[in-house]
Amino acid sequence: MLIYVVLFFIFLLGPIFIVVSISFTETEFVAFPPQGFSWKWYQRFFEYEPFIDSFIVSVELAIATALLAVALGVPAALAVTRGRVPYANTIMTFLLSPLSMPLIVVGFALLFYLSALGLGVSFVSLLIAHTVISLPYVVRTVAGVYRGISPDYEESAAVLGANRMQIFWYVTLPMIKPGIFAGMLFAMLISIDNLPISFFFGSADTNTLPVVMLSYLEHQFDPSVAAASSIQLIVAIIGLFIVERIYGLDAMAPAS
Amino acid sequence: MTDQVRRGTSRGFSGVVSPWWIAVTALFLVVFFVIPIINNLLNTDQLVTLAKQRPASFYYEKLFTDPYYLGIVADTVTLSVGVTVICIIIGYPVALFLVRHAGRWSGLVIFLLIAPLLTSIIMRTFGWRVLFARRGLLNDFLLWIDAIEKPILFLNGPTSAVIGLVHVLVPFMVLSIASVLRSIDLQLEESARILGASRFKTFLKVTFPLSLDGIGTGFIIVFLLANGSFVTLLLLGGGELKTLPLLIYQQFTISRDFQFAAAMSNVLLAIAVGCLYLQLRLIKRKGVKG
Amino acid sequence: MKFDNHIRRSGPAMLGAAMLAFSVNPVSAEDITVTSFGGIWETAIKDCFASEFEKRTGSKANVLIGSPAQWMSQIEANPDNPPIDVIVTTQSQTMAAGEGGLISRATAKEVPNLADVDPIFIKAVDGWGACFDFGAFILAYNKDTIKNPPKSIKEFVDRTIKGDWMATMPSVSYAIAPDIIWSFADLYGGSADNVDPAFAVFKQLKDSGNMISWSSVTDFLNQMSTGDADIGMYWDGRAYAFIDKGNDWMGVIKPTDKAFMSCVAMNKAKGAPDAAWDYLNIVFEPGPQACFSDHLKYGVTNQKVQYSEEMKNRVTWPKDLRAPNVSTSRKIAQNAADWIERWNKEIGF
Repeated sequence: MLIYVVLFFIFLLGPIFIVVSISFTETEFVAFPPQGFSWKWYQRFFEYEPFIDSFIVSVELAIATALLAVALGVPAALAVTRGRVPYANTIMTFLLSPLSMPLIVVGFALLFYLSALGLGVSFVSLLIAHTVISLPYVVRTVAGVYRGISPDYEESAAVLGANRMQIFWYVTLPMIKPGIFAGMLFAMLISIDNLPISFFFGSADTNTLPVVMLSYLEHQFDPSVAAASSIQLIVAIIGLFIVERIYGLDAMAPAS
Repeated sequence: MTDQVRRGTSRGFSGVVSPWWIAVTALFLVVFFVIPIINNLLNTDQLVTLAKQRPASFYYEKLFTDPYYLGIVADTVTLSVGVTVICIIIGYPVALFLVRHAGRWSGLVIFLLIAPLLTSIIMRTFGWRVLFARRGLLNDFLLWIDAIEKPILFLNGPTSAVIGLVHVLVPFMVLSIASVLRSIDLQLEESARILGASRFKTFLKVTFPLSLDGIGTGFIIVFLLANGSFVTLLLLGGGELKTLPLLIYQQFTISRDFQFAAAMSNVLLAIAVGCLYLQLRLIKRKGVKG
Repeated sequence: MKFDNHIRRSGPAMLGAAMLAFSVNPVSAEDITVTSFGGIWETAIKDCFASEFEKRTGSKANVLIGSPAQWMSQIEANPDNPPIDVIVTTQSQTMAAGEGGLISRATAKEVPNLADVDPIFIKAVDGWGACFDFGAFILAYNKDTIKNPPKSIKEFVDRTIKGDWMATMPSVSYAIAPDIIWSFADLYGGSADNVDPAFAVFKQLKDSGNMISWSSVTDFLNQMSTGDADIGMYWDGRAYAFIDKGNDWMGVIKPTDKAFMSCVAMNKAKGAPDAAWDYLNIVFEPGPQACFSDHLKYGVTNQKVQYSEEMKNRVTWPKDLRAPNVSTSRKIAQNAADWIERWNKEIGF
């Protein structure tokens, strides 16, 4: 089992290792194995404004998207799972349906629609679009976890006289924490790596890192794109580390 | 716990949430997803393009009668299902390991799972391209061990695309399964063992059925993501493997035939929603039995 | 952000004299958003055009990177208040944008420097402004692996089929794939109405197994650098720019049977402020054009541009290139969807 898991992670991390090592090459083109060692592509990242600007936009957007998706997704997931909703299956299908639309079509449609609403090409538009496509992850992961938890706990609390809010806050929420955590993580990851939607909402103020990276890489593929990816990775690792410190990555586990 | 009892309790207590909680979310989706999509599908003939204007029926007829496009639709579904099944097979043991054996290392395992998702999909795909290139590591290795005489063009076939997709999507599967495995009451497994079931039998009869919800979540997420993905296919499929999202992308960026793009999106949406509904029904039934 | 634009653009009109009284010159104080592809394109657009605009007008030209399909949609969605003021497009995209009412038609009246632009580049976009730079689709090869390079496209095709080298060609995912299909049809005796000869050639190339494909300009450079390909069809400017970065091993062949020409236009979005005209005038001015040419090693379209000796030798002039006329360009755009479909079915890379 352990050997299998190790092999699995070699498969999973192999390409990442390649990308990170490419970012240190001395050559002007992307070379693997890298030749020489140099920080110059990192220097290039910090000198190239669009990388930095779009990176900040991407991070802000990912966090805002995750929060909004949780705010909208958790109540819906709980209600559809155990809320005596008629046609629960159909509603669930509906809640998950944004996943099934090709993203380029969602982006294109939303560009015209949100523009007609007067939101145009803006951060708010991006946030709405990203929330639409992230919502299904939160709904599905929370519902998945909630279904697995016996209703007995909540019922006992109700019998003991707790009101709805108290049950939600002290019983349900701690138990579905892993689902919320996973859903939020998915939402952030979907947002931060999204290309087909962000692409339509790119402006000088709202271009995200993937859009800038793709455009850069199509016209000048030097290893600075690998450096940009590596920096994105490092920042994300720091973010995860902070989460781990204050919340525990292990929070995927129920509070039991 | 029998079906009857389980169903009884869930009917007796309807959870902490009012059904109305769905309303806000549903409204959000109607306003920002359903209406824009319908709006878009109704107005594609007004978009700026030099492409020939044809009636929508022309495209649907083509999609449903031309063997080439029927093949594309079939390939799209096969690829999505195939990738999803591969993800379940290789992901499940990892999820199980994460929940049952990783112990205090589970944080690290989760971290390693998430790490690939934190680098740009473009670069992850590029990592594979480096490996699969004609003069890449894999060919060098195969040449070195004399397994092949001439470099193989991995990048032009579906193999690299499937590997790339599995690589991108398997963490979603593992995390989905793991988050449900975690919430399984360990006492159930212990009871089964005490009652004399073997480890394997316990797994098969207790753990696995209880984790079906996680597989269901993973299946839906991975299937739909694979169904709609195009970046990986574009960069790794080398064009040999064509799916609906790729063809839609072509219409948007090259030939600007938006009506064809709209027709293909509808077909893709219909496939996805149909499969989604089937899966949910399936899960529901299995779930109640568990 | 949207709010800012609103104030900036329609503010003076809405708030009337009160605003005007406080701003000395409201028009020149307007910032504009211009567009560019990423990478060295952006560097060139910034260094040669945007910074010049800022120096002269005192207002800012924000450079937005991305792709024409994205920008056209953004203007189309916001016709009254476009988020983009100056758009970069390929030939057929320019005509689509013009006829679809997305851009204003530029003449020498609005953009005086257009008077000095070679008329061929105004015709190339059916009078919707003009192209500001152009490139030839030449052959670039690895001097280390190919000692006896081909002299023409036809020789390149024949010897690829024979197996003299590994070749790379643009894939159907590359933005101007339909134009390339036309250029092959034209070379092999077909036309925009009959592309059979082109498909016959592609089929042979593909079946030979001696060809891979590239889908972006950098893709090509990678394939050449890693040895995945020995030779391929590529843009002259990008090849020269790559060689100048110290890659002496790459050689350029100007095919004797006329390379395909493509050019890039820049236009003002309808509804964009007049400052966009000022920017366009800089884009077509000899000095900034020479600067752009120096960065990207492409030919530029103002006839008064003074090229360096080196560039004079490198640029292939329009008369020696294979360029579609307006009606052909239109047919290419109209037939693109059918050609792409045929490519998907018959060739498939």
